[in-house]
Amino acid sequence: MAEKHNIKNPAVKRILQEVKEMQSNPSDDYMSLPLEENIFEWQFAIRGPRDTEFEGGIYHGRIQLPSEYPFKPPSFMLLTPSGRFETQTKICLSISNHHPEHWQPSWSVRTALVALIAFMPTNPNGALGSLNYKKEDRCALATKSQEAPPKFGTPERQRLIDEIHEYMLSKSSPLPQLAPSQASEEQSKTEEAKAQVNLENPEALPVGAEIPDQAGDRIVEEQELPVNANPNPAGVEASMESSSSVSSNQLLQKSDARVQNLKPDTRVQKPDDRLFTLAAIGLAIAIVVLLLKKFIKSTEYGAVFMDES
Amino acid sequence: MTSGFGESTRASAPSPSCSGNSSNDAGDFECNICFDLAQDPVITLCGHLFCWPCLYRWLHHHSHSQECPVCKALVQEEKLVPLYGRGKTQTDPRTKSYPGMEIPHRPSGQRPQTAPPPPPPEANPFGSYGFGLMGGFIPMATARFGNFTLSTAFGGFIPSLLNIHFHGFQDATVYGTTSGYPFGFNGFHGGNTRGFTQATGQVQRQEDNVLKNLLMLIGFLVLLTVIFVW
Repeated sequence: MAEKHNIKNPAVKRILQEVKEMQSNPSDDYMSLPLEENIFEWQFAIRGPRDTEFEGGIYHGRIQLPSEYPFKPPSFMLLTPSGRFETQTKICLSISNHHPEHWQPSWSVRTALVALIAFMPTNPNGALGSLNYKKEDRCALATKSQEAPPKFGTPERQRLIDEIHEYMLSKSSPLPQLAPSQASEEQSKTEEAKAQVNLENPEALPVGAEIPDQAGDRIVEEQELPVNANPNPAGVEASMESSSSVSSNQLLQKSDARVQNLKPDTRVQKPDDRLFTLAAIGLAIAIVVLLLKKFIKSTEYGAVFMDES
Repeated sequence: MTSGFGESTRASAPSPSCSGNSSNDAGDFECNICFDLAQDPVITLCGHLFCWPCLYRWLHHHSHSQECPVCKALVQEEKLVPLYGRGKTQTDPRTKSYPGMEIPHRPSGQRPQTAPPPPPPEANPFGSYGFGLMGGFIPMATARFGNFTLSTAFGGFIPSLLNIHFHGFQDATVYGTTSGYPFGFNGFHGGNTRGFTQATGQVQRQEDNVLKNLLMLIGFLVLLTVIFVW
């Protein structure tokens, strides 16, 4: 794959690096692969988050990376109906090219997919490319999404979509509806919960271990979830960005003040300077005393002059 | 069947962490923008590592404000710290990441003042006295030579004025010691002794001592002027 692309292009180098990382550290929650013929075109699939109406769903989509990636954000388009995002339409999120001012070059396709999974259960609030279906409809769409992947694009792209779908199916857990009786359903749910807990822990560790800064970004994304219940996600993130920049400015000013405070202390500790300072003070006092004597004498001379007159 | 699936999940858990650990070692020195080993590495005040070409391109061509690509902190170019490793700094310009762009040299590191030397150890009183006597003579001569050089450096001095200058220096020293004897052999001897003591104390910072001596000399001249007028 590397031989086919221009290695000197920094965007291509960055994308190849991301492909290598995605393949060496696969995740059960998402899968993403670029096309053979065009490395700037990716196909991805994400799993619906657990304990939500999207649980069990496998949602396919495509990603278009710009030629100036990672300095410009990519665009995302979902292909599987989900009840949260429209299909065949570019999604409006802070991680997509609808808001290039919020994009960070340290973000990657991996962080974007994690953010997309986190944004699924949020309230769209009329954002572009968003839908607000009922919970029952979303559950039905989630179940239906497992049956077959969507049909889209060229045969090569369709082959890639099928490959990703098989991977996601092999990693998925059985649906609770498959069990006939309620008792077995409860047992299977409990075991699924345990399996999920086990799955979540190793997933968090390698991501945090690989790139600590992205773990920081992930923490920020998790904090946004409850806040996003009411306002627009872009507005919330904008306010958070402004607050973080203000606090960072204050920290910089404090550090500058500390540096300034340190400077005068080092100059005081010099015994030779003290001796010279004392000598200079003595000399100044002597000069002042002599000048005072001269002044007094001139005053007396003035007094004598007045007596004569 | 479900419990079996759970067991298989638990068994497969360690493998991602192992591969994560192996890849984590290389990631410590990778640029946060190009995800490759940092070329011309620079570190921001917030501690994030970048290639200088990547950061320059972000700050000057894409960022709407001077913000860190990772944490959005304010980035000031004069506060960037470059990393100098043991690798060769001179690389072929054709292998640069951005051949089409004109990227200036990365900002240089701010070198603090050199650390002060350790104080010289004192062996024994007799040796210290001898060393002081020997060292006292040379710095004294150096100080006088420094004053003479500065006097010559001014350029416009008349030879007779220069002689008065030199004479005034010793006279000032004598006056500092004993105010009752303006001139005389005894005064000269006393001044010489005092010179030794002062010279011993002024072994360090000869440049500052030259300036301080010059200022003290000016002060003494002012004092003499006031005395003569009075």
